[in-house]
Amino acid sequence: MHRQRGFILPMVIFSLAIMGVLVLVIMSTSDDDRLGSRYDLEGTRSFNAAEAGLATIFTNWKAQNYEGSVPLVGNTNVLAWTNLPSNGGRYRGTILKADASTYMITVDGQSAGARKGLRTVQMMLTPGVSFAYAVQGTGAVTFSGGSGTDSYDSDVGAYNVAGNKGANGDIYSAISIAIGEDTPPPIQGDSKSLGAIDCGPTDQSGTCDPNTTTPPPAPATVSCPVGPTYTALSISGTTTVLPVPPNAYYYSSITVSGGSGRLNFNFTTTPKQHVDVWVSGAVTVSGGAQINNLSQEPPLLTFWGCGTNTAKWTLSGGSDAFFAVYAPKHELVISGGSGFFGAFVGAKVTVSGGATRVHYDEALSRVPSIVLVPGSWTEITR
Amino acid sequence: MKPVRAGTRGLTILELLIAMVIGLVLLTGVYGVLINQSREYLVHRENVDVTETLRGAAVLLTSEIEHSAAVRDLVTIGASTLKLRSIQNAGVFCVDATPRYGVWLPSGLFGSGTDDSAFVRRVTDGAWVHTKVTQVWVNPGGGAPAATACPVAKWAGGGTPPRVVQLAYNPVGDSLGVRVGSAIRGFRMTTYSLTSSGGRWWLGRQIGAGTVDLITGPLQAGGLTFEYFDADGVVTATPANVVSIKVTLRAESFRKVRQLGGDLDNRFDDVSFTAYLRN
Repeated sequence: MHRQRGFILPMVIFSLAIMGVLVLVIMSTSDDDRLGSRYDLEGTRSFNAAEAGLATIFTNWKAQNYEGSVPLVGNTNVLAWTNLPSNGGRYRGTILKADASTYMITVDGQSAGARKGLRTVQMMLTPGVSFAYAVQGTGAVTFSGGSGTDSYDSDVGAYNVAGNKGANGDIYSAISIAIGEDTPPPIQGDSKSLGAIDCGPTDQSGTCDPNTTTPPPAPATVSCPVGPTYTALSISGTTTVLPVPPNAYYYSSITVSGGSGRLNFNFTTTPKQHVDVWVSGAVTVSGGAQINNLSQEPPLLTFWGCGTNTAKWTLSGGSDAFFAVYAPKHELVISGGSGFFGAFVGAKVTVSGGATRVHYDEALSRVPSIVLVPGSWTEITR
Repeated sequence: MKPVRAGTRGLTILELLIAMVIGLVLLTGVYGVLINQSREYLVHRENVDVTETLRGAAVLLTSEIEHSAAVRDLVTIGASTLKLRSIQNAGVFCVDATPRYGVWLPSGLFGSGTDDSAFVRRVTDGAWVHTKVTQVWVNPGGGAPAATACPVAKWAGGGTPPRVVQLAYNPVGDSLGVRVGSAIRGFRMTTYSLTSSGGRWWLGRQIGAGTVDLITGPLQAGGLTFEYFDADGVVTATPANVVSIKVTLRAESFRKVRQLGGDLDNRFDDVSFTAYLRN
């Protein structure tokens, strides 16, 4: 029989071909959209990995001693790639010491995806100090004549008001601790030292840990900020008021003497702002003179013993001695028979005088160990 | 002449008509499928177009907002307009030859045009000082002034810094405290707004007082709105108090396509997100 050639089959094949092309075009368009979404997703994951890395570095700033890894201005420490536990992303941090007390942290982040996006964020920080002890000495610590410690929380209210008085006046020495016995015990808190400690119920109310195997990190020496002029401040028998702000003062030495000598810090803004007093030499407060923090909030006023100078600091207390002292290279002599509200970090530390009490402010333990520089966060391109 | 075999014959008119009718029915079916496929493709393509518009605008605006510091960078905040200093570059000074500074670890484009300015961080008090960038040298090969070489011993791989900038302070005293270790952030005054062009709406970007560039779109009329919130989550009209910005984008497709009901219309979609100022 003669084969009949119809036209339906070619038409159907032709139509199928057209539809196939259309489907391919649709798939191509969908694929472009899918790829775009994929790049967005991996870019976002990389960004989040970088952010997670930045947060991790901030969290571990003290524990990992990142400051110590870049001792000089201009030094850079490139950390190894670190995997994130959750989704397989990873980050790599770079720490640059930009200034004596300013660090720039740059963190690359990559997703675990096949294309491994790369996003980089950057932020700057200035290190802070968290005071964990009422008195901490890199040298010997001595309490005599009935002097001692206790604690309170300035965030709660005034000392010894409505029960705001505690037994967290802990002390630490990298050498040894001597305590004059008394009842109740002068140290209302724990005692810890790498060396010997006078231990007993007439010495401290809390634990006693001589020859400790769990010492705290040694307090780092702080550099004096470069740029400002350091002048000598000497007050004798008069009152000098320093307003806050500014947020920093710089002195080569501070001397306050004479029975009515006063160095008062007056906080003029609401809310009050913190002030740092940088001293490259000695501090001497004697003869009934006083350093007063008129806000009566110790976290607002910090004295920094900076640089390599090791001159003795002599402090006598007053009605408004509310401050923290961080001077790990300076011998501290604390006396006056009155209260100090705050915390002290020094080399050799001697506290004397029957009524001399260091009322450790627990709010100081909550001061962040780093301060992020506002306005410095940015995403950069590599 | 080829002889006709016995038993074979041609199609009758009736058979031919039946075959044509069946073929026509089949072709109509195929044509219908083709048309539907084509419509689906067009709808799909326009949907993708709308999605891309929204995605691009959202990524751009989120980045701009996240980089901003309320006090420093937000200039004008409006319901459909946001004028801010858009970050262009970053770095840290490794050498100070005031008013010239060597820039270490530079990122982004450093410019000295009319709309280029910078904030530099005064190390002594942490303040960001507004300054004008008057000249930029790009290295290697840019001929940076010799006095602006970074100390090699301190800045690993230092020497000629990748960028050198010359700044003009107003007042001049602002330069005090700007020195080695100061960070620089370069900006361009940028306005984002809902912009009309060709009878349609777009996300427009204007650098300084220049012409408005159409960044993405088209958007619907009223398709870009900003809401500004302070730290308590309350709407604020004060730039310095802004903590977060809620952005709502409503986009439409570039072309109209046949809808399910047969009407010819654009495809529409919208997205709303809140971005927080990071600085």
